[in-house]
Amino acid sequence: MTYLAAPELSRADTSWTTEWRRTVDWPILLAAVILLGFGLLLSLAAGPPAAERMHYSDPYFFVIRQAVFACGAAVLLLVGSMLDRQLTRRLAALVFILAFVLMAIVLLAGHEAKGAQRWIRLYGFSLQPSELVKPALIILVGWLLAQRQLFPGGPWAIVAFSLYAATLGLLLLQPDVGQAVLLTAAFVLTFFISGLPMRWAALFAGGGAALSGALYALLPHVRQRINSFLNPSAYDTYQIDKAAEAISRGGVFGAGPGEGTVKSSLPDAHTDFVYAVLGEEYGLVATLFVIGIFAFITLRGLMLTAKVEDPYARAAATGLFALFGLQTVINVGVNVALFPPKGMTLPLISSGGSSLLGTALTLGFALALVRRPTHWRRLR
Amino acid sequence: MSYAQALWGGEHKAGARVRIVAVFLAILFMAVSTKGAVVAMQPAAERTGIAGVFGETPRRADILDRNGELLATSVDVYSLFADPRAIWDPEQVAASLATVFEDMDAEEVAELTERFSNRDRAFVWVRRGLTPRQRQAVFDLGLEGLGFRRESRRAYPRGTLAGHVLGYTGVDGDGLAGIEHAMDERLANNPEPLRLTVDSGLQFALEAELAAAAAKHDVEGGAGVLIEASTGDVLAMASWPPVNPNRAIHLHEEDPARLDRAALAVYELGSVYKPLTIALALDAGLVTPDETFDVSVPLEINGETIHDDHPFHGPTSVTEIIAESSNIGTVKIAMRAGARRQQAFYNSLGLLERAPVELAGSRDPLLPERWDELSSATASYGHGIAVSPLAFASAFSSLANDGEWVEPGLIYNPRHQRERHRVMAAPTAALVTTMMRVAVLTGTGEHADVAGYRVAGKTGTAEKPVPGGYSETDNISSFAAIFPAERPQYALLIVLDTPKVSDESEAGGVMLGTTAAWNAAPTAGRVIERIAPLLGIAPRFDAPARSGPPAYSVSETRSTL
Repeated sequence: MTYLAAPELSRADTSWTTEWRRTVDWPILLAAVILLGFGLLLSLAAGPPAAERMHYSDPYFFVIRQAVFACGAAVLLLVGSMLDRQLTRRLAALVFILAFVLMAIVLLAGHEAKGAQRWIRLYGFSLQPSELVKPALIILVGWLLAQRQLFPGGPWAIVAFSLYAATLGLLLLQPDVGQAVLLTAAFVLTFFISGLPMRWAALFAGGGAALSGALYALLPHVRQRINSFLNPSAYDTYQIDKAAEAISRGGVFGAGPGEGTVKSSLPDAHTDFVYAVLGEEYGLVATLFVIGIFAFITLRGLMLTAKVEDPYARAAATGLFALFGLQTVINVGVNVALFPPKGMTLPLISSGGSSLLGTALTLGFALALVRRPTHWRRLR
Repeated sequence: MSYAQALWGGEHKAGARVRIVAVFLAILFMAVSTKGAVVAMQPAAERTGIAGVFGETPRRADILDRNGELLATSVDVYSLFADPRAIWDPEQVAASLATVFEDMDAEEVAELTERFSNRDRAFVWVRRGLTPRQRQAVFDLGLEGLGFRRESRRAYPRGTLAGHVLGYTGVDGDGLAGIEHAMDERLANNPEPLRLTVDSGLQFALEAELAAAAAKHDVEGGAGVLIEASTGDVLAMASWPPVNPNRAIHLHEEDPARLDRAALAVYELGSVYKPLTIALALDAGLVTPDETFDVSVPLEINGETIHDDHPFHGPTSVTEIIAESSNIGTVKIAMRAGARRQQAFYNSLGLLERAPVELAGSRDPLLPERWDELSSATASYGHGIAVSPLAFASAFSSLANDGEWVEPGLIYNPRHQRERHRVMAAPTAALVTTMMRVAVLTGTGEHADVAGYRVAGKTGTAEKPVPGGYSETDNISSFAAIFPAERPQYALLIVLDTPKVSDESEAGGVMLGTTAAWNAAPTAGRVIERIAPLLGIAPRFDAPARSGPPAYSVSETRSTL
C-alpha cells in the first residue's frame, strides 16, 4: 500500500508523522492533488468570463480564489488524513454541530441565491454549511451504527436516523434537493454496510418513494426540473442544451485551451458545469481521464475500506467514499444529460470554497479512517 | 465458503458489502462515462457562442420588369433579440444597448429591463432591421443572451419607379399593397423572380410626364396607363403623387400618395366613352359613317337636359361628333342602340367589373343603379359610370386590337395567352380609329398630336363629383389615345384630377382652360413622343402633322418627386 512512501521508514519510529507517512494512502492523495490541479486549470478557462459577468474588476478573481481554496483544501486533506479514528469522530461531531447550527441560521437569515437559501456570508465569502455537514453526519452515523453492533441494547439506530432526518429536513427547507438525495444515498449505503436489516431497507425504499413523490408534488422548482428533463421540448432546458452542445463541440480531442464558448454563455460554467468546459476545451480524452481519476479514488478507497475490520471506520469510510463518488457521478450525469439538473458541484474541480473544503474534509476523514490504526498495529 | 456466505455470513461479511457498494459505484461511473462519450461523439451543433445568428427566414422572390430589370429585391438585415434566460443583469444589458441605439430613451431602457427580467420567456425582440454598423456595435458589447436573426427586408432599388404597382411589404415581410400583396404567396414560396409586364423605361417616361403635367396644371392627382393592345400587357401604369415603396409603410394613412389612382380609384371619365358608343352603333349597323345628325337643339330625357359645350350648326357627321365631342350627337346614336345593348357592350369591354389584373385591390366600378334611358344616355358619354383608369384603358385598347378585347395583366408570361374575345368587327375598330385620328388632327385632341407618330384619341372632361352633385369648376380631365393610327398597337390613357389653367392666354379662357384639350391631351402627346421611339415605332412625316410641344427636361421634373 505504501509504495509511494519512503520504504526505509523504521517501524520503531513511532512519531505520528512517520506513522502517518507509512500508513496513509499516497495514491489517493496524489490523485486528489491532480484533481485540484485540474480545478485550477479550468478556473483559468471559466473564471475570467464568470468574473466579468459578476462585475469583479479583477478578471482573475475566481482563479486566485480557486488557488487559495485549493491550497486550503490540500492542507485540510493532509491534516484530516493525519487524524486517528477517535479524533476523527470527535472532530466530526464538532463540525456537525457547527454546520447544523449554521444551516439553521442560513434558513433564518441566509443569503438567498438562485431561488434557494444555501449560503451565509462570512468575511466577504459566502459559506455553504451543507457541504460540511455531509461528511460529519456520515461519520457520526457510521459510529452510532457500529455502537449498535457492539452494544445492541442502545437506541443507536434511532439516534442515527434522527440526526439524518433533522439534517435532511434542513436541506429540504433550503431547499437543496440535490444534496438531500446525495446525503440520503450515502446514509443508506452507510446503513447497508452496518448490517441494515431487510425491514429497514424496505422502510427506506417506501419512505424514499413517498418523499420523492412529495417533493415532486410540493416543490415547484423540483417539479419543473424533472419535467423539463423528462420532456425537454416543453421546458426551459437552456443549461442542459448548452452543456451538451459544448461537449459535442469539443468532440474527442477538444476545441483547444481557451477555445471554449460555453463558459461565456452558461451562468454556472465555472461551478456546476465545469465538466462541460473541460469537455469543450480538452475533449473526451480529458473528461475520461478525469472521470477515471474520480473512479480510481472512489473504488480504491472502497477497496481499502473493505479490509478495515473496525465496524465504525468501515461504515463511515464507505459512506464518505460513496459521498465523493456519487457526487461526481451526479454532477457528470447532469452535464451529459443523464440526470436532471441538481445544482451540484464536481468535487475538487468546481469553483466554490465550500465545495472544495467540504470535499477535502470528506476525503481527509475517509483517508484517516482507512489508515491502519497505530494501536492495532502495536497490538500485533 | 459459498458466495452468499461470504456476503452475508462470513467473517468479512461487511467487507463483502463494501465491495458491493464499490461495484455499484463502478457501474455508475461507467454509465456516466459512456453517456459522456456518446454526447462528445454527437455532431457539434452550429449555433454556439454569444450573439449567434440563426433562424433565417426564407428569401422573398425578386420582382423584375419585363426586360429583367430589378424592381424589388430582398436584402439581408439583422434583427436583434434577447433570450432573458441567459441574461444575468437585465439593467446593464438594456443600458449597454442604449449606447448603441442613440434614439433609445430612458423609458425604453426601463421597458427593456423589465422584459429582460422575465425569465419565463426565451425570446424577446429588441430591434428589427439593424444597420451593419449597429450590428457590429452590438457584437462589440459582447453581451450574453443577445442574438441576431437574419431577416429578409424588402428593398426597391428604383425608388418611386412603379411604386404603386409594386406596393410594399410589412415588417414581417408580408405584402401589404400592390403586386407584393396580390402575389404575396407566390413571392414568399417560390424563389424564382417574378416578372412584370411593366417596362422600366416606359414607366419612367410615363411617370415623368405625369409629374410634369401635375406640376404644370397643379392637379390633385393623376394616373396614366399604357397597354399593349395585342397582349393585354400593362407596359406602364403610374399614379401621381408618386410613392416610394421603401418608405411607403411609414406614410400617414391619409397621405394622398398611398392611393394607386390607376387601378384602385374610379373616375367618371367623360367623353372618352364616345368612340366606344359610336363603335357600338357602327358595328350593329345602326349608324353609317356618312350619316349626319342634327345636334343643334339640346336633348331632353326624363326631365334632364343634355347640352353641348359649344353649339353645332347644320348637319353634323359622326366623325365630327367625335372630333368636336358632341354630347347630343352621341346620345342620339346611343338611343338607337338602346340601353340593353349598351350594357352588354360595356360588359364585354370589362367596364362593369373590376379590372381582372393581378392587383388584389383593383376597384369595382361605380355603375348606374338602374340602366334606364337617362343613365344609358349619360353613360354613352362617360357620365354616371365610374371605372378605374386601368379598366377603361383596357376597354379602349380593343379599338387598337382590331376589335378584340384582351384581359389586361401585370404578370409577364409570353407563353400564356390571356383571355380574349371579340367585341366588334375589325373594320369598325379601324373606322373609329380613323375618326379619332381626325379628332387629333382637327378636333379637341389637337394638342395630343406628335410629329411623326400618328396619334388617334379622344378627350374626356367630366365634372368632378362633389358631395351632393357635381362641381361647377373642377374637372376630371382625360385623354384616351391609340397609336400609331394606321396600324394601332398601343393604348394610352391619361387622367388628371382637377387640373388648373396654366396659361390663360394659351388656353383661351378659364372655363375652357381646364378641359382635357388643354391638359390631358398635351400630356398624352408628350408621353407618346417619348415612348414611341422606345417602342420601336418608326416615325413617318408624310402625313400632315404639326409639331407637338417639346417634352420637359427629365432632370427638371424628376427632381421634384
